[in-house]
Amino acid sequence: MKMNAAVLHAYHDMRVEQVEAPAYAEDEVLIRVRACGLCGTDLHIVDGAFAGRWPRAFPFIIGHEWAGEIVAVGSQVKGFKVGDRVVGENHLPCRTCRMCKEGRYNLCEAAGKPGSGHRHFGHVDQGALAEYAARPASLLYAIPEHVSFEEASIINQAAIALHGCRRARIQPGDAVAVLGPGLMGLLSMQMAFVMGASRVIVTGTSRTKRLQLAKELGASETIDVLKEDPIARIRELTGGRGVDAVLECAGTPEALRTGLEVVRRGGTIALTGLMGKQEVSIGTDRMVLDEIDVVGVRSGPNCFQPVIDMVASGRLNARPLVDHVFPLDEVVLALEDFRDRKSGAVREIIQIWARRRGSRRVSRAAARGGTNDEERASDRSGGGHRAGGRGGRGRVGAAAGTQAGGPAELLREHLRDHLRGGG
Amino acid sequence: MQAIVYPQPNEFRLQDLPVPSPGPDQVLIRVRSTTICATDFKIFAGQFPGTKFPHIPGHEWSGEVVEVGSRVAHVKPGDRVGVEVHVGCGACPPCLNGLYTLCEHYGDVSRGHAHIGFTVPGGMAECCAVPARAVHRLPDPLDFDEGAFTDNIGVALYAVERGGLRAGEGVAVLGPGAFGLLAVQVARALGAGRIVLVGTRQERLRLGRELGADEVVNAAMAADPVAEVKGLFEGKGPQLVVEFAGTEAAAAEAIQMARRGGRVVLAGATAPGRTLQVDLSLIVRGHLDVHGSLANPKAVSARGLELISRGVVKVKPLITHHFPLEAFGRAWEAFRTREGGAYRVMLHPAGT
Repeated sequence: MKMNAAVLHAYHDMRVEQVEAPAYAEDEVLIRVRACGLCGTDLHIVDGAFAGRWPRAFPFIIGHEWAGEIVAVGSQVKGFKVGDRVVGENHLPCRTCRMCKEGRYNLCEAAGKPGSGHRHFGHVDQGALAEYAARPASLLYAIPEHVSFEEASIINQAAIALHGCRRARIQPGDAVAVLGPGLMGLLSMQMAFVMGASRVIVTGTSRTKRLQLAKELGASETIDVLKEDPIARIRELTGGRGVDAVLECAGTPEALRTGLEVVRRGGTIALTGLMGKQEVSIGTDRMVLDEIDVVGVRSGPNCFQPVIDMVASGRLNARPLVDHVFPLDEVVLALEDFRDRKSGAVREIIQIWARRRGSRRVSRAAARGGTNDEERASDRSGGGHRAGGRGGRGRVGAAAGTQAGGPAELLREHLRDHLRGGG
Repeated sequence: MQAIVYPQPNEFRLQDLPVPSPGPDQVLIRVRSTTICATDFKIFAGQFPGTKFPHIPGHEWSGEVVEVGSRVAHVKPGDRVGVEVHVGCGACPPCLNGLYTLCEHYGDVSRGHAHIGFTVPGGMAECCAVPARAVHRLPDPLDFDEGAFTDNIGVALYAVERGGLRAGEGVAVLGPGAFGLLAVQVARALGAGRIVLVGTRQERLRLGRELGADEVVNAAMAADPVAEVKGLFEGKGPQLVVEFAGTEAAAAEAIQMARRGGRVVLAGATAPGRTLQVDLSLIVRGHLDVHGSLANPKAVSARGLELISRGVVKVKPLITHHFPLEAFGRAWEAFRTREGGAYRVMLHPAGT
């Protein structure tokens, strides 16, 4: 069976083309992918920032924030059937090493070891930016009917947000600072409230509408770091005491330094952002004298089902976050949209089975309004067409750098440098 | 190979069977040391719900790897290994959390679950094929007899950790069987303050003292064992009580003797149908944490083996008899009748 897929043939060379649909093993299912989000890591993979590691070989299909429906099941599969709507974890752990057995399978010791049985879909093993994907049934979770595929596609990220809040040991009544209002930040902010935080302060810049969105989604306060000193402001907002926990979702040295200054004595900073191999210079005396706990957050182990329940019950509002949708044909445009951030998108979502002439980008209002493709296709008022037509094939990222000095560009540059160093 | 087979409940025989061949995720082990435990009585009597007959028992054992399946990476032929007996499906929520002892697919072999020696063939045989995730490489200083405690030491360590023992705290351990005597040593290794061992057999209590208990209380001889234990902790009782006695009375006493605000771990009385009669105000007004503790999840056995290997937990004093596999009947009787103060009788299917 043939399928359309976004195939990476070399770094910067992504083409939407017909390839053979994947075979599925007896313990696997074949999934008709319906929505797949683009993530910063995808951009790095396309740019070759993880050359030799992610992926190990071409041609390669990226995509790890996906949702879809099962169209075929292997002979040994139990608990799932054709027609089930599902999302899935991307790491297939070995289930044998100490970390796996202790319940910390996100830290599987077999990861990266060929022949160990560990698989990493969308990074090492073929991803989901395609009409079909094969996945072990053991990685899947059912999603309810009323959760759209687009909303479900962010469950992977929301799981990280939950894990981060758990690692930060957020407790009822806590004051929390979320540094960085991207998708991770907006999800982490909501998650902190779910876990009982009484106040959540979000920092960011007013260059995009994300701080505004944070406010709409319930942030107690937002701080534009271009206009205000976040350290002074957070101290002021907490009566000088500082916040109980900091969720660092920006992945910048500045954010880490800010976090160390605004957390209260005995508080916790959870680091979700990646900075490549960049070294950050920080004073450690405060960590020592005030017993600040700094914890890393990797992936979202044991978090998928609770997060699905939160999205299903409305405790976690995913709709405004999946605000820009593209058909598969326009994946290259979508990547550029993600890269330059001019559109103000929180997350670019590829609707794999959207008709070619369907919607490109839709307004936030349309995305909130419903999940019907027809509805979206008819509402183009908020989206607007991008010059240049189809983005089905092209050199991705070649034209980047036109905005030298802009925050997105700076971030990308430093990430690229350091990730290259990290290999 | 030779194996002990229960053709039906209450019957065993030594039988010649083909050596099993390991599946892709399994390892084949030549069994070197294997013991009998009180739970084996239940399995033998057909009282363990998950056991299907004919059955090969054996769930506390060690050996050397003979062959590994195609997908096995972490051990190789020649490795000396100990076995933990709970193997979960690996994919259900408890398994993903490391609590594979609570696997939601208990008994479902098709999903990868195995309870070695309970629902699938065990190590009372010359060879046994088990899922690779059940085995722990033995630290070098350990011999096979010590390695046969892989599962037991995990059970004892997990129970003490369930109780959140902090260095310097007072501990009472109820039940001076193999698990209780291991728990005493684990508590010592984890920095406990005063440790009191409670039981009814003077000889075992004496061994408990040798292995690290500061005081012992013979519940059969004491007028009020609870008061006596509390008295050894300034009248307030220990901060942590670990029950490995396996009786309702001991479970009640565990709750009665705990210090207000303390913790109680009930790890012994695992049979269904047992009920607890206790003044609830002791728990509520006493602000007690009462924990159930089942077996050894979260790879805790690996850390337990390190304690044995460092010499801070001694298992050799618990091994009282050695037999070849064909003397299974004699071994069984020695253990059942506690002949010569038997704690653990060790069988050696591949010779000693």
